[in-house]
Amino acid sequence: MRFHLISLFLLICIVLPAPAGLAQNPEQVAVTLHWQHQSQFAGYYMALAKGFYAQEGLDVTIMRGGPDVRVGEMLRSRKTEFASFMLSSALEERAAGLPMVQLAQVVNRSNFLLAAWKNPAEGVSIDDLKDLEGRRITVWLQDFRAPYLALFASKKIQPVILPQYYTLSLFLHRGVTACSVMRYNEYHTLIQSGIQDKDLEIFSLHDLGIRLPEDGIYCLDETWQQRPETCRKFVRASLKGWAYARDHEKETLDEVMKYVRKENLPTNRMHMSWMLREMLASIFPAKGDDWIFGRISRRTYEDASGMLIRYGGLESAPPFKEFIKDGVANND
Amino acid sequence: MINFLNRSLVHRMTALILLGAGLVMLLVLGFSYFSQRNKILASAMQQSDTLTQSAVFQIEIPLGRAEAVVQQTALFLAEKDIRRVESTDLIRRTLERNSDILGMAIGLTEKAAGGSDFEILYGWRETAKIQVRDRESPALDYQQDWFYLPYHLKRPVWTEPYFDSDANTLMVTYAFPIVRSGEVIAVATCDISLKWIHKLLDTLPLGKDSMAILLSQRGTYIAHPIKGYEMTETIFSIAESQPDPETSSSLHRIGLDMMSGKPGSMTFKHPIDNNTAFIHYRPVPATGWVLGLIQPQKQVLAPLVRLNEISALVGLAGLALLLIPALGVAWSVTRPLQRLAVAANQLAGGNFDAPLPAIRSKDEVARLTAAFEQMRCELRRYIADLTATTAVKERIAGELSAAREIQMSIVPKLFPAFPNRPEIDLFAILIPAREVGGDLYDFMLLDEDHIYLAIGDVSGKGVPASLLMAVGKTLLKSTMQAVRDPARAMTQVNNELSEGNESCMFITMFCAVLNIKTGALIYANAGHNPPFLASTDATIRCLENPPGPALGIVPGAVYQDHSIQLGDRDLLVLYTDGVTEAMNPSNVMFEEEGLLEYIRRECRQNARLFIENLGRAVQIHAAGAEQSDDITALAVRYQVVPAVTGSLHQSEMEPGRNPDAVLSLKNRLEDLGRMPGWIDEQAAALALPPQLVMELNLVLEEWIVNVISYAYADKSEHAIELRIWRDNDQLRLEIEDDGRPFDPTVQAEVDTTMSLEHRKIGGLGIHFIKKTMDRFMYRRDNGRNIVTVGKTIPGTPADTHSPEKETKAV
Repeated sequence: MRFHLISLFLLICIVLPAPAGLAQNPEQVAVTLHWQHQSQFAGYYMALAKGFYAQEGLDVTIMRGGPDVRVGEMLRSRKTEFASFMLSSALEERAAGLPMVQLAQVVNRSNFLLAAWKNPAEGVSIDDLKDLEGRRITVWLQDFRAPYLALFASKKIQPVILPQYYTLSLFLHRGVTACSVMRYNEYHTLIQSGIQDKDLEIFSLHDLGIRLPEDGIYCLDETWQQRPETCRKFVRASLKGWAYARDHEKETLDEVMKYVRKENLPTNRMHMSWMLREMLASIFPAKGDDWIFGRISRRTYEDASGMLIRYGGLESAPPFKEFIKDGVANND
Repeated sequence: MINFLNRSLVHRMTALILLGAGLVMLLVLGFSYFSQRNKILASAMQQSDTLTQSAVFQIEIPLGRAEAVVQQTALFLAEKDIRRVESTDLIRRTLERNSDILGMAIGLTEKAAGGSDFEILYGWRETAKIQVRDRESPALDYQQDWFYLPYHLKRPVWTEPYFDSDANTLMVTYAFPIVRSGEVIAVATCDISLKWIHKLLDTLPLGKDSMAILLSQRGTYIAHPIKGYEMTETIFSIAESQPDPETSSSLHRIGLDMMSGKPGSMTFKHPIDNNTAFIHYRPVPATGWVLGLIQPQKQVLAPLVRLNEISALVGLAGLALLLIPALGVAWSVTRPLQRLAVAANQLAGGNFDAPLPAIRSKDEVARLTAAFEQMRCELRRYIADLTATTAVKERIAGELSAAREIQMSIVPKLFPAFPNRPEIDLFAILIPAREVGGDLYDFMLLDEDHIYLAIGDVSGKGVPASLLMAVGKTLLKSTMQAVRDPARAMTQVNNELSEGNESCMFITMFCAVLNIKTGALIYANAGHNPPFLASTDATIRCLENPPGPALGIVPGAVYQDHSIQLGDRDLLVLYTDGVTEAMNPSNVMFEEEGLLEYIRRECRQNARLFIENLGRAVQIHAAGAEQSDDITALAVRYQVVPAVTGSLHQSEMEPGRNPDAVLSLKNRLEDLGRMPGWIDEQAAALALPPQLVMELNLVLEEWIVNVISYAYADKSEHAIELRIWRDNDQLRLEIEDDGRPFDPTVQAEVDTTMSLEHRKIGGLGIHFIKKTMDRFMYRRDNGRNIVTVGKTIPGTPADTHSPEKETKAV
């Protein structure tokens, strides 16, 4: 009976779209981020802080992710309507049976880098990817590992790969020759630890042809089916938040630092500043970039999913139409 | 300021003394500051280094203890199978024994756990009790640095410090791998709180603005006075956040140096307050941390700055005190100078008796005063000398002027020289130079028919020359009167002068006797410039017979007479070298050529005009140059007196009676109309034939028109007087005017073949007069031209009633 009441309520919501900008009776939704609070999610913070969600009639709760949060589980258990995922993670969840769909592809540029000591040991120098042949390196696990495996396969090299978790300690202790880093995050952490560019050799996967779009907005297929307008409103407000972040970097940074301090996270403003800049560069196409803000093309999707199937242990990928929903449609 | 200093020596000296003292003070202060500064800095560095070292030592004590405990545990476990009971007991006992260890873990690897009864055990203090439990999710622990790092590195590690929310403190973990046959089977750890770190750093004896920082092995601030930096910022992130790129890069460099694992120190601009600061740092070897002590330079140097401020104040007070003696010295130097200046002003005003300041010392001012006194004496003496010399000079000048007067008074100056001798027209001039020279000229009638002429020049100048000139002139004149022969006279005079002529002075002399009747000229020359003889047709001869020696040099010298016949109206020109050697400012002489040129041009003038104009011509040539020698010239014109015919009377020149009639005309052509009537009247009264009346009319009109047209320089009214006499058959007319001198009788015969335009003005009229009248004479008398024309009246007996004849007959 209770279920019917909810269904009825949902039905009313679909049939009678709530007037936009109406403050009373806002629709309560939650979004779960796939990592701890940082500039990576600045657009959502700004959408909330500047009232873009409220303008769409949404009352949004932002929930952090982290090593202790399983975002897929959050969706499955309906604790959150929306979630931020890396495309690769989303496809894994989907393959694992979570019926979720993508509403928007926020980050189109891949930030995966491979950072190597230029001189990892006496007499050894790393100038080329091929120099990593047979050397110990650390790479993230699961879906984060796929692009690196794709890279090594395409370059036909076989390094000894150790698991890489949350820190770069092993690399910093010079326990390995190279490690995987995100351009917007760990790369700058290295710099802030006093590692100089001249000591590092950086390989950009994006530049080496491994294109794996990253953060996107996802929800359960049923949510999309039942409340497409809510989905569109959320996406619209979130992308608006990103656009606001792009135009107000300082204000955005202040907002990010509020989240960071609240969680007592061991990071600093300069690092967040770096991250914000790199995120914006990955989200908004610059001259010469071949993507559209907030969307993924069929071809990119198919290339990426193909790569994940081949190298990331992904069992299968849903067809483009089935997985990629047009959450941005009314946004143009 | 400059003006102020320039106005007074006192100000300048005082300023200089103070400036010098001030500079010395600054130098001393600067030197002391910099030498002290380096010492103080060095000692501060030393202190800071010692302090850092001791702090590092204190930090290492608990770390070392923890390391030892974990090491012992690990070694103990490595020897046997690791079981839950023993491990739990081990953890509990360790925690009991080591109160500074907060927690301890023993974690088996996945593989080892398979052969044991636990995976990961963790013990910690909960209030006073010690709890040991299994970790809930070992899979996650395996990913943590405390396990992951020693597992992969196979060596013990200190993790990065982290904030533990359960214990609510900053912690750090020491993790030790337990290795069996080359493989890590387990990891033993202990956690220690870092609370004491802040206490330790707070107790370091640092200055007020100094601070201590502790960096982790990643450069993260473990301890920093700004609490917000701890565990969030690294020294590199702070460097990155500096807006000033220089500060940023300097901070970055400090970070790199600190992380290099070696102790060191640096000077840098502190980003907090932008002041220079020193940092001293030392690594904590166990953990790879770095301890740094930062001291602001200001603080280190504060006592020195304070000391310098006091020194500067004392110095300034000293300068103020110095002002008093400086002013005193300046006054003592300048006061005598001021008095000297007053005295000098009085001296300049002519007061040579003004007192000078008394000399009391031997300094420069005293020497100046002495020199001034000497100058005053010298000036006095000089003025006295000058007065005496001037008196002497004035006397000499007076004597010279007397000599000039003697010279001038000794030569005859009365002209016309021979008023009763129309045959002789003579004029002479002597223009003395400023320095009296010895020129002379002389002339006199020796008898009825002979004139003595002489010109001479005495060697040398001044009084001796003028005396010798007087002697020579007198001697020659008297001798000539006696011997009447130039050569003989000069021979005698030469002997007279040569005798005892010790001063070797001499006279050049030209001496001549002219026979008025015959025109024969006898002359002798004693070394003088030979005279020129110009005839009326302007041919000029030079009387250039070999001259004898100058008078007074060669005793017994014999002089020769020469003779020459003068023609009618020939002009004899005597001169001295003062004429030919007169110089203009560019030292060009008048020369003989100049004289000859002049003679050629002017030889038809009467003697006075000729000589006067010659003098003027020479002066014009000199063009203002100072005359160096006397200028002397003498001209004499000899005129043949026409043979006495019946119609010519000497007395006609000077009629003995009043004229028969007189007419006075104004120099206006309109007044000329009165003349014909007057002539007609006289013709009637004196019974003149009509032919003569007509001729008279023409002659008079011709002449008077000439006079009116040319004689007057001005335009005022002048009288022209006509006088007429008749004596028997002789008619005489005189026309007198006061115009410029003009002698119509010496005018060249008119060249009637020339065209009218080329003829001289009046020439034709004069020609007509000469043709018409029997006599035509001219004289200048008392500044007036008197022209006399005479005619024998035709048709009357020539020999009757002629008084001349009667006289002659007598």
